[in-house]
Amino acid sequence: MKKTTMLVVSLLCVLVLVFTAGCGTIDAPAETAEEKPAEKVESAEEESPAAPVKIGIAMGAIQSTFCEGLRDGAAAKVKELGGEAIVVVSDGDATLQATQIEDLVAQGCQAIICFANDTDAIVASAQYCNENDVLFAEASRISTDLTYIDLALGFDNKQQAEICGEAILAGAKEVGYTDLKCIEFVGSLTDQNAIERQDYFDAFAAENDIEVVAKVLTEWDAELALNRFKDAITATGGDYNCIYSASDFLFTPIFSALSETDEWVVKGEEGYKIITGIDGAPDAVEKIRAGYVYMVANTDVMLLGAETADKVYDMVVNGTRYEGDDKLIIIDAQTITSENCDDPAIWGNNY
Amino acid sequence: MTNSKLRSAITNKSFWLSNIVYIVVILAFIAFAFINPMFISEANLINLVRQSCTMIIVGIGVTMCMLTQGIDLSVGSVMYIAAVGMYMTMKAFDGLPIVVVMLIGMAIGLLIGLLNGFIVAVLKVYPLLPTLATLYAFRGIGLSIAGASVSQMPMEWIVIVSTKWFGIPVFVYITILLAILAQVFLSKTKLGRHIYATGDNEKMAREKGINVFNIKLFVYGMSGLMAAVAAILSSAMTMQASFTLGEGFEFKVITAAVLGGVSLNGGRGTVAPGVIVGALILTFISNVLVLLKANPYSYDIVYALVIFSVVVLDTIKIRSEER
Repeated sequence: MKKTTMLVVSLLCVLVLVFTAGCGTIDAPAETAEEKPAEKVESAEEESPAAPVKIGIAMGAIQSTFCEGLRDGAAAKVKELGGEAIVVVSDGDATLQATQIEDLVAQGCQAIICFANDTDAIVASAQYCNENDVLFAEASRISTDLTYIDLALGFDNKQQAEICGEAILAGAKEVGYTDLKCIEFVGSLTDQNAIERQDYFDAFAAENDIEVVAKVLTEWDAELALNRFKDAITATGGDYNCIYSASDFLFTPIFSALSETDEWVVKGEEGYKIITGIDGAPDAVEKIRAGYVYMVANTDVMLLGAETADKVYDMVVNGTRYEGDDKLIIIDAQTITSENCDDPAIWGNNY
Repeated sequence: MTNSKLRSAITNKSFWLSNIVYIVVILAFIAFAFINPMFISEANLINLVRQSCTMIIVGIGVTMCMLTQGIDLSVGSVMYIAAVGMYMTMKAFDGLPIVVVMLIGMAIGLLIGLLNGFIVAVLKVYPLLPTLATLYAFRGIGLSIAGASVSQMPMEWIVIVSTKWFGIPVFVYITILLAILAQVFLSKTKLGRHIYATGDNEKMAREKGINVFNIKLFVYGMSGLMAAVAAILSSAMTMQASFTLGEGFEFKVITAAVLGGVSLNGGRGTVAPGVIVGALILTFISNVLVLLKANPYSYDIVYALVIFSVVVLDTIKIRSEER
């Protein structure tokens, strides 16, 4: 009996360790040794506030390079400005996110930067923040009703989708394709960005004689994307010549499928597919450099995170306020092609 | 089977009722082949089988747990952390043989499975809770180690999925072989029969001298091991240790097992043909929806209808057997 009790106690200790490792909150990126001396000098020269500005960063998810970049950009900027960033993650649960925001307010956060799970549900949290004199800003996913939102920064999904459409048209001219047939990779049906990227591309395609011959619903799952892409290839009899992906995170399963049929080829080779996508992650930039991917619409998530944090910090410290249409700030998308893929300013080259 | 025996089987009502799920699936296959001939193209049929493989492999281990009245919800996370472990190993030790990396991945899966089994066997709680806890824990640990950046596997990894015999990937043969071996083990060996006995009535199994503790360690260990094997396959297919690898997969595998006749109450069910058929049903639905170019918003509804239909058919079968 004693032996069993000891065994159980040891096991419980191991479990506690495991859960602590697995469930820890995400801290802002650790400062480097080079940064520390600079911060000390600055604080000696300036009069710092009694307590650092606390900004809560409520992430809907961090399970993508996109989300990580957003979080890191925002958290690093807050730290650079002398504030304290508290990061929480709700793993796709809108109800949990609302609870976490309340917790952040209770912890004394003066502002919340939110990457929302559900942009309609988050309005209630924004209202709660307003009632408690806490600023509320959205990054990337933006609510249609900005009444309680103090600031919203994002990318223009319409612009990005159209850029991809235009790239397909330009690529077709280059390689001599006249009859454009596109396989479209859709993200998740519950992701606002994914839905907009799908809808705007469909609209562009309809107006510009790009026939969407198959849609691959991926739920942002690589294996599902691969399997359904192969099914789509079967469904179309292999009769397609371009690909549009709502996120370039799906380029690797695309590569896997096309490699099997020797269709993962560079521009000019037989069987070349004009591949375009959105985001500009490091892997995508690499594939552009290698000549397999034609173009990617760059969403500099680190810049978005940093810009949001910078403006929010300014709102807290200097009392700046945005009203009406000024609340919504759209960051222009850029294109990454073989001509500029080595630009060090591209976030995919630095992440 | 002689002609008279065949005639006797066909006219026997209980033959039809006890095989009703398989019969309906075959009819559905035939019907869809007429609707869309591309369905029965060689490439599509190979795809169908290929896509079922990860589900079948994980299903082997999960079925063993379910046979003991248990369940393993952590398989998706085990897949992920095994893949992360293999990726990190390759990154740290450049040039390590692929076989060694795979063995390391399998060892990770086995250890986690044994941990699950130990918790279930020692604490004697219903396995849903501890395996739910490890589902979150190991996904979290994996993300902490690898982050969310795309962990691209090296090019050599593709040999796992690109090697073919007679036009069919070798891993398909391996999957079928594993499933058959698992079923032979469950049906014909003493340990296999003890697994069924434990699920049928654990108290009586103990009274008969069956070491239930070892049985549980074994089945959960196998579940973890099979999840790791599936991780090797999945990461080779997608060429990445994707941060979404295995997410929600446990529910698909359990659904495949139940569709294949494995009882959630333990003591009943098979890997072959049960889990194989269950996995093929789910893959068939996905395949058909894409071939029909169905509205993506309808996918979940169709899944629900099919699963409901199979459950109803299975209930009819069980009631006919009881009579």
